[in-house]
Amino acid sequence: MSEQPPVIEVCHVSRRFSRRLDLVQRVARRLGARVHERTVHAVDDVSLTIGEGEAVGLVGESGCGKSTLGRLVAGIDTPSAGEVRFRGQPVAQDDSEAARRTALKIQMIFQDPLDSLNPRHRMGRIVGEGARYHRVVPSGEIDSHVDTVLEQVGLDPSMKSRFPHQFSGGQRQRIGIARALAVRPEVVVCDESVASLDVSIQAQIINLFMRLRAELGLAYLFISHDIGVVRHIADRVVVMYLGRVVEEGPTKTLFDAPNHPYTQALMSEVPRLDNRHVDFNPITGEIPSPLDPPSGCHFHPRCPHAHERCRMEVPRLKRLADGRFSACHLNDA
Amino acid sequence: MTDAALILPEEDDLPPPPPPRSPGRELLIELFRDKLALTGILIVWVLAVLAFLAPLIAPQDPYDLMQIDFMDSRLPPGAESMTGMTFWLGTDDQGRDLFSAILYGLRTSIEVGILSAAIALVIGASIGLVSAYAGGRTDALLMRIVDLQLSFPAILIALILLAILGQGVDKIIIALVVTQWAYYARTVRGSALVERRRAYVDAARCQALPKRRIIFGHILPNCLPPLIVVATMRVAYAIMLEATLSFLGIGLPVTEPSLGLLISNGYTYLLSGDYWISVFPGIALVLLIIGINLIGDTLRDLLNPRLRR
Amino acid sequence: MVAPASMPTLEVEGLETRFITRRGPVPAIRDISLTVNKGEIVGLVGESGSGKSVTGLSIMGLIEAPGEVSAGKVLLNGEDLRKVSRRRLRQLRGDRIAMVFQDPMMTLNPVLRIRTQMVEAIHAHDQSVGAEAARQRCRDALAQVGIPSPEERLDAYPHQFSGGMRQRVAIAIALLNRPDLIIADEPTTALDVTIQAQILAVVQSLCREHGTALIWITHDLSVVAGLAERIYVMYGGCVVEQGGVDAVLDRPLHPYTDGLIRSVPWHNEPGRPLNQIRGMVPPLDRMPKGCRFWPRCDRATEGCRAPVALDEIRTGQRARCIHPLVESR
Repeated sequence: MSEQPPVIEVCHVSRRFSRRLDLVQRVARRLGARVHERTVHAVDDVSLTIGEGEAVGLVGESGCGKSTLGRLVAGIDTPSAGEVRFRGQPVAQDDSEAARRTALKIQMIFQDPLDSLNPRHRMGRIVGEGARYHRVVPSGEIDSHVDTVLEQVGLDPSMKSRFPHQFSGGQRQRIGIARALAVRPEVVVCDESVASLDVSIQAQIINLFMRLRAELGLAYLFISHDIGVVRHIADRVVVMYLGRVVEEGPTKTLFDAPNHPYTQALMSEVPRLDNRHVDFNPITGEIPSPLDPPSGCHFHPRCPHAHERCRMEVPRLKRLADGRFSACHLNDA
Repeated sequence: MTDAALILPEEDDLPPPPPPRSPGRELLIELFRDKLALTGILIVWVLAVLAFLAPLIAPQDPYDLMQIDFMDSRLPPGAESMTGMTFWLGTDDQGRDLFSAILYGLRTSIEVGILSAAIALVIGASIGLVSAYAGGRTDALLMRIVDLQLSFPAILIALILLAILGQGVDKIIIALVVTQWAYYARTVRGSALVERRRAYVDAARCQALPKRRIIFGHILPNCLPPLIVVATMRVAYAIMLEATLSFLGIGLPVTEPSLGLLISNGYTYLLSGDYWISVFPGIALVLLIIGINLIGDTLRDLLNPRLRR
Repeated sequence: MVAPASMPTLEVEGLETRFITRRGPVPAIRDISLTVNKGEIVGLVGESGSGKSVTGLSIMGLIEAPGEVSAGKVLLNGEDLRKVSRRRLRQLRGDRIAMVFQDPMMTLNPVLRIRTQMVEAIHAHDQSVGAEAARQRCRDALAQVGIPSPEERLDAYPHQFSGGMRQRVAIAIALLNRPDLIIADEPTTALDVTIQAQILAVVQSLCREHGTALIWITHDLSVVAGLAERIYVMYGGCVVEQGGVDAVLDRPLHPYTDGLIRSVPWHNEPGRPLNQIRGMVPPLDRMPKGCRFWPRCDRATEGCRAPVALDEIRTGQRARCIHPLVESR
């Protein structure tokens, strides 16, 4: 391995959302009422890296912050703290030429194919606009470039004049993928990109992702709530819960021997085709609201092994073995 | 495996998919299919054609003082003039042929209505778009101005403006624009706020497209449906407002043809039996507005995303 | 009317529903026959466009114009729901047969408190229940579905619950009158894994305790694998395979079922291309004649263009295919 910086580095990134107090509330606070800003720590001090051509899977349930993190990596959102770096350089948010070049290198594929395509634009424009505007290829070659990309994703170039609603769900997702590929990215963030597809179409799109990765050497951040899909496509998996990373490791070891109690619960509770006549016995408790997370380890109210320390102290992400990390006090014993 | 040959689906096994049609064309086709809208379109079309061909088909130019004879005043419909010309709809108190006057008046009404609506649309839509995309304080400030504007009755604002500016077609248009732009701004801002949250805007930002292109090239086309409906209705309103102002005597000057003016002139004679001087221009105005409203109603239903597909 | 113990709770025969379009009637489902016994959990599996939701709605009698149920029998404890009066259907719905939808807000009225809606559901079928007794039943129903502090929760509004809790409330409402049959249409599709597991646990214990029959409609084969005893697989508006869950999932007969099982990522070795079924589901008005699946099937022959019957190819397992996968996998 060369000494080059990793393709993507997320360094202690946090993203907070707070509702600012309006005039009435500020006056009330001045007068002594106990009014305070409500802050949601959607992403709380998260660090991770994506290496050259690596596929990193990001899993977690509602409110874990994986989608927010994906947007931060793709550059659509700005962190409240910390930094996202592309090949060692911070991903800037200004309008400079450098910022735009970097933005094109990190592309995103969205969850809802219908919502992520402008219903008023024809397919050809959707796929080619970015590439055309930024002159990714010389202007004379742009049409053939778009055609090539379309063929790569399995779409018929003669359908360029159609509108999104005239395509099926799977085809729309392919359009989104073509749009991303047209600007020659190096990293692709897939945010629940197969969630809204039927199983048989999902298989087609997953195969497409894998083929493109092999052909183009792309790196992926694959965000999904579907653990089975992540297991299939990712080299490494990061598990998040309520804004924090709770476990991280190579796919096989994480699935075979999950360390963190939350990961264990997730693995045992995900329905598997081979598990028949199951006696369901899941962990109890609701997923807490991000507006009011539990103290200390966020998972402690639902954890079967929780003890006093879990309530008081936030566990740090500790290295267990090569590439394996887990944030649980039980590992200290 | 069986011994029969494998078969693959052939093209004629399934009927071909319909050719793609742009949303605009789809809309027009649906519009023409609806009977109410068709009626509206027909009415407006007939009136508009008549109005614009006014110089050619009107028997008399009602504002050419040479052609008007005071002796012809207040003649009932169907009467004949000294020169042998038939006054199909009668004459007004100055001896003008009402039919010609109505044609010219329609023309002015439509021109003023559409022009003021168009200018108000461009200004209002731009402000609404920018306000929605900028958000924060800019949005709050612009929308307070809009609220202020909308809290005053349109007639009052128009009255004040015209009192300051004086009379004239251009001044009327300015007054109409000032009273109208806020509706467009608010409508477009509402749509733009919704559209801004949608994934395709994120996708455009991810592709580092410049803000201006995103606002006008991506968001605006999706704000058109409610805008079209509002614009149609506002054209009708602008026409009516102009007629009202002219009726009150502060709109178009006496020398410019206007339906409102005609109605106003004939007002005093209504109860004494010379009804036609007010009623016929009134009917023309009402027909025009109903026609536009019929089109607008159907457009609203067709463009309602919840009823579609 | 007391049904003998051996009679299945639900027996559907030859059900057909179609939609009247500008171009004529288009069948959405055809020749649907299924049986659910007392206390049994049956899975109805299919992708979008398969007609599984239409089947559920047709059984409940919730299909409205331009759709109509055009043929078949729906026997609930021996009574044909298609032949009864509207009044009787209203009596049965919510009392003997209930439905749970994917979106709990299709059941819950956002402007009513939970207790108002629940008490209303009780009184709609039994006026004689007193206010306190009704409240007690509501409390018990909420507790049964695992909602903490049910007494306080009764006075809450739907928006004060999380998604998983709302779905549990919807299930509680479905259970209030101890129906004989519940039809659940994708109830956990929009929920997280751990919450889904809780709901599956709730539903399972209820069926075991009260003998409620359950039809679980979903596209997720894995959920049905753990929950159901028997499966019906739908494609293109027909049942293409049915049988015990182990038989169908371990030894599928129909190529579509086989393709579906192979497409599931967990079933495949990581990193290798997933098995995929080529092509797409054709729209309802352009379904192929004969076997619905033949354009996408690797085993199709000329004979597949003719209508295929649902034959019992192995004991207890039926498939609608003239080239079933009878070799062991």
